[in-house]
Amino acid sequence: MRSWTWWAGAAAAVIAVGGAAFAWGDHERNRAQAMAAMVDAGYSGALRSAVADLDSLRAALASASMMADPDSFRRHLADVEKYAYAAQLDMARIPDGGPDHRVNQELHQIDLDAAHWMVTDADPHSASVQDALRRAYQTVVQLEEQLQPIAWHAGPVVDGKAGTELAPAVRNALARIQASAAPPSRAASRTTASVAKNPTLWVRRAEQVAGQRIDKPTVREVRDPRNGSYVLVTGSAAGRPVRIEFASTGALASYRWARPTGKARVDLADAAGVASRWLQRVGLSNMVRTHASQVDGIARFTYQPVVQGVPALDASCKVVVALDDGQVIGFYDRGKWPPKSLPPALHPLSERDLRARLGPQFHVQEEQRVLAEDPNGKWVQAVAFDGTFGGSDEPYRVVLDVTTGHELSIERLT
Amino acid sequence: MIKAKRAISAWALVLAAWMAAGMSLPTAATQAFTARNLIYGSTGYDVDELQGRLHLLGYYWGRIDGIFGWKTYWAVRTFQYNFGLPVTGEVDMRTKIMLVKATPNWNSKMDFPAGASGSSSGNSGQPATASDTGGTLISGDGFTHGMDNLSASDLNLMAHVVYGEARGEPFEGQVAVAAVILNRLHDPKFPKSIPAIVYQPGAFDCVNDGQINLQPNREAMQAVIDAVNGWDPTHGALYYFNPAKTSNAWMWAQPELVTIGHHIFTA
Repeated sequence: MRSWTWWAGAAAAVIAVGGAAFAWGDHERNRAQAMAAMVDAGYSGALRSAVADLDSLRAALASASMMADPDSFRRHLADVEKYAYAAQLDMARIPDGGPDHRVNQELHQIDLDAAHWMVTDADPHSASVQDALRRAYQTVVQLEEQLQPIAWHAGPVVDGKAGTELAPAVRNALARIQASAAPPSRAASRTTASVAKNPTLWVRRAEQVAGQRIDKPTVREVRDPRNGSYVLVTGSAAGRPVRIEFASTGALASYRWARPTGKARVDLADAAGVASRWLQRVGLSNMVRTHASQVDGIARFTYQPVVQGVPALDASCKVVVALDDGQVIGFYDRGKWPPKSLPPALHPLSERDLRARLGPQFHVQEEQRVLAEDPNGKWVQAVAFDGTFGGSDEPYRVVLDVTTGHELSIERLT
Repeated sequence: MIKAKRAISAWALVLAAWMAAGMSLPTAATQAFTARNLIYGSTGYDVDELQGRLHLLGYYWGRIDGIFGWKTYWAVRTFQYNFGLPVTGEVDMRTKIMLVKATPNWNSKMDFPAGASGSSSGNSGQPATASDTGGTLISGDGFTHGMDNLSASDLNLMAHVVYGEARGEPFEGQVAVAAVILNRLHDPKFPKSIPAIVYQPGAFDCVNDGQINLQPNREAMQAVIDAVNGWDPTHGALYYFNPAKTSNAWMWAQPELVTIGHHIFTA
């Protein structure tokens, strides 16, 4: 009797524990499936929205191409911008569909073009505008055709498959679209490093930049698929690592001497003088200092090149000076240089016309003629208005194209 | 006797007045500018004094904070223009002498109206040295203030990404990751703020796997500073990937700019 009770109790306990474990496992499995289904529903929803937006974008592009009336043209361009942006957001919600994906990059370009045409009041008759619209239309049609089959086979309801099997399917399909536009073989453009032809010359040039001897120098030529190649000189100066890059033309691209800095003993103004003289020494004489800051015993100066007396706003280099002994320990060039002469400005607007384009809350303190890049990356003559905004008196800079009066940039000055 | 007492009182008053004057005069004298020139970006007591004097003349309307910023720069230019000096926006000895002459009644204890109250190191009355200027960029767990149009919060976020994505990589590789973020900030294809770039869906693995929440070390923060200073070892890369972990055909198809550590940086 006792033995029977013992065995019955043990069996009941096993059944109870097993049942509880099964119930818990089943609950977790259901929860995981629900989560997976929810995620997949999100993916398929995003994909289908993207396809719908592409369809609307296609119609907007067609409308913009067909209408030469400026008002209608602008209205359709606004639609193009809106749908291109919406489709980008939808794509970004899908795994691997983010900003790196080809679809998003194509859409972004269309978005940018439409915004630029609106800002510059582009002529709907312009051949370049019409050509770009035609290409954009073809791109959107192609993308829509590629995405549509994925979008309508991704959802768990359509296929009746378990949700977790679907995300990889979407991912693979997107990868196929991505690969379909892949540029030709990467191997052709891969970086190949080789020793520069005349290493001694580069070391000497590097020592001139550093202003001291460079020990154990190594010279390497690094091929850049966009800008030719550059030469990298590394070594040590006074026992600390130094790294100097030159463009293939011989121009200094960057200089960094990694050494600790001691207690600051040099004033910022004196350091600015050091930086200017150093720039002249390395062959960058026609520069103007536009910004300065000091922190942690290091002064940083921003310089802009000057073209026929006009500073180029969107090109700058930085000089870093250690305030313990006033030595230049860093130089960094953004690699963007303005043209050697001023771009033409055939019918520049008057100062009054340009000021009339500024809002009443902006109080101009200073204005100067500058060179700046327009949204297409083309250098244009411009006027920079520096001033304060509203009741908070925050300093801002507004840059207007001197020919068209269009806003090129608005920047908060810090 | 009374006459004698009156005479003593009168002498005492004269003595007291002389002592008071004697005590205040040297104070005014120590509050004069030091010899250093001031330019945009300068900080410290001298700038406090500059702002105070310009404020007294009605040229400066901002906070007296000892930082030579845009408002101070514009005030200096206006002062120079109105007083027949070369308009440079920089405070050299000539400008300082003219400013001191124009504000003989200025002293550091003057009670300025609200919004322009004295502050910072200037109230100590000690002349500035270069060592007390500039402050510290990194303190404790993060950046204390921003630089180059980026806020302290932006810099901290970048340091988190650098640490999450590239800890264990060579220092140059960490700078390169920070430089990619900055390159995206200047590229029209990407969002216009650091948080928007970092949190753009799928942009950084460390956001997806939560490693962005790890506390960055000093090296990652220094890498961010170097990138903000302008060092871009990638020469303008917008993407990078670890070849051992990526099979994305598109990424592999991009022209490689440079390989640093375990990452290939592409245009």
